[in-house]
Amino acid sequence: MAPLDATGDQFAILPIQMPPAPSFPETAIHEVRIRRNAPKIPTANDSRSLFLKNIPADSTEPHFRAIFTDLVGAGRFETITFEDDNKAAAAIDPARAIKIAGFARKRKRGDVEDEERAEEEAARLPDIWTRQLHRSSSTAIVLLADDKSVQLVLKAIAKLQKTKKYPVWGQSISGDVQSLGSPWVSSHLRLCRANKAEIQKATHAFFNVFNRKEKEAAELSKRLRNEPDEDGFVTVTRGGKVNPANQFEAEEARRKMVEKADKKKSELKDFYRFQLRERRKQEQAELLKRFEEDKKKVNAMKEKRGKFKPET
Amino acid sequence: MESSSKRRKIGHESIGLRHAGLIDFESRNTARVTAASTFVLQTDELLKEAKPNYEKALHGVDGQLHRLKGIIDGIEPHDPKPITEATVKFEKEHRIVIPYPDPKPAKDAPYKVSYSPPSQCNVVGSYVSRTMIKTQSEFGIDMVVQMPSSLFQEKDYTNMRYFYRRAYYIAYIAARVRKEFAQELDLSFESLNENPLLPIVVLRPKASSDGSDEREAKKKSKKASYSIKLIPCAPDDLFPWSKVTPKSNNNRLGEADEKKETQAATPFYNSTLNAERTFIPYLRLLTHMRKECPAFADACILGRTWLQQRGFGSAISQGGFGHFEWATMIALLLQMGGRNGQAALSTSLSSTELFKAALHFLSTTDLSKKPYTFATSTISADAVREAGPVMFDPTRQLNLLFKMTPWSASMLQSYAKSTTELLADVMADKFDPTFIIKADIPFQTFDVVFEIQSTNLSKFSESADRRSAVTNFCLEAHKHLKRAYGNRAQLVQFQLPPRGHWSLAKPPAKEATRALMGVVFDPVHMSRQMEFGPPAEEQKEAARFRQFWGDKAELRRFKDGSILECIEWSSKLPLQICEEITHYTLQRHLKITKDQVTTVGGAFSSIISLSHLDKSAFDSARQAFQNFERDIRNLEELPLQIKQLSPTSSSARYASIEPPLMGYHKGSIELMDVNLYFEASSKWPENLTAIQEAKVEFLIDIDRRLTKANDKITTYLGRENKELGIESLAYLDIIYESGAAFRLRIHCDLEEKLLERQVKNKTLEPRIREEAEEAFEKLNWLYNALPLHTQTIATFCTRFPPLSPTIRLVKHWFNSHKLSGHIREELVELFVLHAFLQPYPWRQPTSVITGLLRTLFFLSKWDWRDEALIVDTAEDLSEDDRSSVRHDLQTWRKRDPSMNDKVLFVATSNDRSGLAYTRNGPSKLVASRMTHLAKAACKLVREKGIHLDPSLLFETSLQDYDVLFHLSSKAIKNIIRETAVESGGRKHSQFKNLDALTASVPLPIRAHPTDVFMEELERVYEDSLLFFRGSTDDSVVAALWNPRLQKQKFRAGLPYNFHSVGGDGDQVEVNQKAVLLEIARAGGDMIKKIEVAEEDE
Repeated sequence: MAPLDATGDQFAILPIQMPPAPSFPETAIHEVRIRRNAPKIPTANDSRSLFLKNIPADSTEPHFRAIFTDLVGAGRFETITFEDDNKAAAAIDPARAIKIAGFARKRKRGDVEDEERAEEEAARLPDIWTRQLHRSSSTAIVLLADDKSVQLVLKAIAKLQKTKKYPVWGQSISGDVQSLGSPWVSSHLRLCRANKAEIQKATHAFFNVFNRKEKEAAELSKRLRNEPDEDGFVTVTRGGKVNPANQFEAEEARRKMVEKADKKKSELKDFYRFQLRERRKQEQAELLKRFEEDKKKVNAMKEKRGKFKPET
Repeated sequence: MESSSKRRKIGHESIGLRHAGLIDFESRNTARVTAASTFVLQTDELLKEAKPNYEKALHGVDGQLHRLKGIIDGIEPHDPKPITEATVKFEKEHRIVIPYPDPKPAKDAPYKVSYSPPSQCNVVGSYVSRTMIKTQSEFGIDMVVQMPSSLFQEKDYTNMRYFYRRAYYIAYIAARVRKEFAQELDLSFESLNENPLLPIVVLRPKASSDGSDEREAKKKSKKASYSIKLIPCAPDDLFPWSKVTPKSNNNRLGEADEKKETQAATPFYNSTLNAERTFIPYLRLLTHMRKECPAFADACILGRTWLQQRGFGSAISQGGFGHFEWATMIALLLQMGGRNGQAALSTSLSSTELFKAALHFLSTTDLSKKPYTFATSTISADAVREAGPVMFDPTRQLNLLFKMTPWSASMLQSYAKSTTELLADVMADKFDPTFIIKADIPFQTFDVVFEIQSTNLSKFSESADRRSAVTNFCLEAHKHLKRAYGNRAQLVQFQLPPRGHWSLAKPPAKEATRALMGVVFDPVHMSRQMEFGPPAEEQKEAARFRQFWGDKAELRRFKDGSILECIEWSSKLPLQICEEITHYTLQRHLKITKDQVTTVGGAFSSIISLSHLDKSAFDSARQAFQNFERDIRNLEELPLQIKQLSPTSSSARYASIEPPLMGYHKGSIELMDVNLYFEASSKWPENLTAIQEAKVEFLIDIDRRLTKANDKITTYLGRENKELGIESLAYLDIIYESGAAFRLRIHCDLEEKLLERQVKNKTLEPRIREEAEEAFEKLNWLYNALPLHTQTIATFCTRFPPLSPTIRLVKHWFNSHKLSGHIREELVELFVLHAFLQPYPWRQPTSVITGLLRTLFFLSKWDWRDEALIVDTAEDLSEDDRSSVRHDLQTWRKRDPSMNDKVLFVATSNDRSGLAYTRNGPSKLVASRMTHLAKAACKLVREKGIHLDPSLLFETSLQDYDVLFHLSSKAIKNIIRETAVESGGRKHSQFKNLDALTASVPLPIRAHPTDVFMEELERVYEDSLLFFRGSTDDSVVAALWNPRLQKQKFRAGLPYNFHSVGGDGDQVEVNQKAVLLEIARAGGDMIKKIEVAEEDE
């Protein structure tokens, strides 16, 4: 664990000069908050990464590469991961697979895993935005070359407070940045009109993965049912010996049961005289209640002045 | 408590509030509780509130009245003198112009006038009966001065002689009273109830003139002043009724042709004479009733309020039905009018019951068609028949309604009908529309208002009946127009100019020569372009038809072989047809040219271009959908059975601002959204993401089959703005060669169940559950609520023709005030529908104008903090359902008193939760803005009256916003043009014929570029900015900084772009400039300019 520097757990302020835009000819200082990355679940790269808060909405990797180059020179900046990047990894697992996976965690061999990842990659749909706009004030994690770079960056930021020579946003960007504005919108609209063949390929790939996983899960659950675990217990899983139970059928059965119970209940209504009497009593109590409510309502209206005054 | 309730039972004062005893109600087995509804409790409150404090408001009036009586009694009589001589002498001596009614007495008139003290001098009316209400414009205290019969001769009922003597008498009294009261009271002449035959003297307290306590004076004048009216009246039985029946003619003065043998009857003149002797008898009747029936006074107050809110009053210009007529009517119904000479109403009824009964009587009795007499047996209907409405009191032998006109009678009946409907409607709030809401604003009542300027009224001023010239003119015009409109109009109403008071020293001001006419359409018939007359064989009828319509009538042969007289109007829209008919009829029968008739409020329909072709455009869109449905259903061997196809776009329910246009007119394509439902199946995978992928597969499959079956269509697979996840991924655009275009989405019932289970699954992470909930709401809205809504609105639009244009205009209103980004268009449709389903206090809107204004009126009144809007579209919501919605609202309000969430509650028959339409907004801020804007609009409508410029209602105000984004419409047009062609296709060229766009059909796009851009901005700045925008063509988007963003201490979770500000601690606030720069960069060339509002201080 690297020792914490002077600012410690605190955020340092990285000011960035925002140049004027043609539609809004004013400048501003954007403040990015920055600190060492210390996630709850530590990872291997924590010591050489920085946590950024309040990044500009139009941030891209080249933008930040330029900023860090400006701060500590070229070659230190490795990569940046934005908050909403990792959201895309959605669970393709079938419902059963998730459940079963909890019972028996099994590590797969590396090469099989790679193969599967490639398959999942193929299942992804093509992007419909050429560039993502981040939510206002979102976060990112910058991965630097080594631990020393982290120190250097923090030092450079501390120095900025004195020199007031802030890095300028969008200056000396190397690499391709897709433009925003109307090209951005029109390219999005064009990408939304999807290529049918491409989409079909992706869905096929998806179902390959999905079916495989489902099969694995089924097999696993079958195995679990037949094999006692190390403590000698047998896991109870849903379904008969031949076919696993289907959610849909289960629901249907439940509906029928409820219907039956309802019918039975309704047949026995108003059967005895005391039932009738009780019902009538109830109705009367309800009437009374309603009357009380009416009174309350009128009183509430009375409190609000002018409710009873005809308009002129 | 116990003792007090016992005492109440003994005392009889409180019988008016009959249920008062019920409030302490204890025993459970009496079902009488139902009798006391909210309405009754509310009216009780109203009665308590409405009664003025006589001590305070009319302090010292009693003393003045006593003095006045003393003075009048003390005036010394003088002997008869010839009228001319007496007049000249009197006018010279007192500088008072004697208010003789027109025509003035002839110079050589042979009869003499004299004065002798009144035989009675008495206060009558609502001051005595204590039935005044606070909101009256002025407290009027009536004092009648009964002239002794010695002043009159037997023949005085003819030729206005009675009225000349009366005028001299009142002027004589005025002279004396002025001498005594000159210090404290102002005297002026006025016509009693604007009846030109009956001048009276009115005394009003002088405004205190000393400047020191001006404010106090203002306060006083605000408090409703009072006036004392001196009304001379005739002694009992002055003239026998047989001489003054409605049939007789008693006035030959001023007739153009005096020697005419058959004199027209003079019912108005006669009834006025008749009424002169009835003041004291009616006073007796009303006092008697007050003793007989304890609730009578309260019923009068209720009636008075009801009439006043509808603009009715005793004065002729106010319809001639006021408090006096109401009270007398009830009194008579309490005495007679029932079967076999029994009373129609029982004296033991409570005030609300009396009120309801009176309204029921008014709504069911058509007074103008058949003369109504209380106690039918004694007098035949023919004896009292006259042209106007008749309600005959046989005991006092007077037509109570002689001041009413045919139109005011039908107006009164229409109001009574609407109120009885309201009282029978379980669902509606009954109290406010009945008593509170002021319902006499012309534009909210009438579909069109004409102002008729008539310069030449001399023809009408000479009639023997002595109504005013304008009244006569209006009667004539009414007769012709009523016939001309036929069943096109429900009501044709004239508003007569009111007549004010004039000072003693001057003759009365000349009568105004302009009249307002309002028409309430029958929307089904008004849009008819042809007027069908009788067939040619019926010669008499045909001749009459031709005589009425003149050259315009022509004979035509129709498809079914009939040959009819008919007229064709060249206009298309209801309003213009009405205008054309009016112009033609007035020109033909009354020689009033077009430029003397101004249509007020015609400009409403030109705000958005409404045309008569719109309906067929919508119809053909629906037709196209049916064809599409057939094509889909004809696809063979689909893996699942199709259950249903439902459209969800506003163009499929007659409600889009622009009517759907087939073909390619705008360079882009408008698609109709369609949902496809399959029969339930177990084949769907049990995973949300997999379902989405399976749907995509389905779409591709349908696409393949469709294009195989039909080569006239092109299809595009489109992607929703969503990543792979639990929400829908794609849709299929299907475009026919004819230009009809549809966007198909698939519904999967399993998806709904899975999502529901995820929402309820407590073992999942909260974030996932929230996501699932959001997706579930969206799904529910798109696949369950929206199709039903579309169906409902479409049905109502075909049932009520004005609904569709009104919805479109109201949507335009929301657009022009930049609210449509927050308030769903479906919600707007519900608002309008509500104004149609619960139109009280009016009847259902019959045109765009009334529809729009009443919707705005509803919005301005709706107190969404405490009230849920319940639109019972299928009429199947029970009282329990309703109260449960209200209960839900209360629970939410208790839980979240500052209303950060769930602001509007709108329940319909299909959605009883009350939240389906309003889950995503509007927020409290937007909802209050809506209410404010609606209130401002209603205020404008009320203040401007008929001089309202409708475009003012739609004027956008930009001053309240923090930031304005001016979008570049050029850049947006460019995007549309670019995306409408395939990216590899031919480039856009400056020559139209080389342009790729003109050569080919434009391609469908996911959404309008402005929408796409704003969607992104709203996603990014969800917590920092509130955007306000109208339609996509609107180039200005406004925004407010989220008012919740205060200066606060820094923490890592802040959801907005901040910068630190000085001060202790790590204080930060929103970095406005940086945010705007971000938007400027994101918008690029789409944003022309960002304008920041100047700080006020």
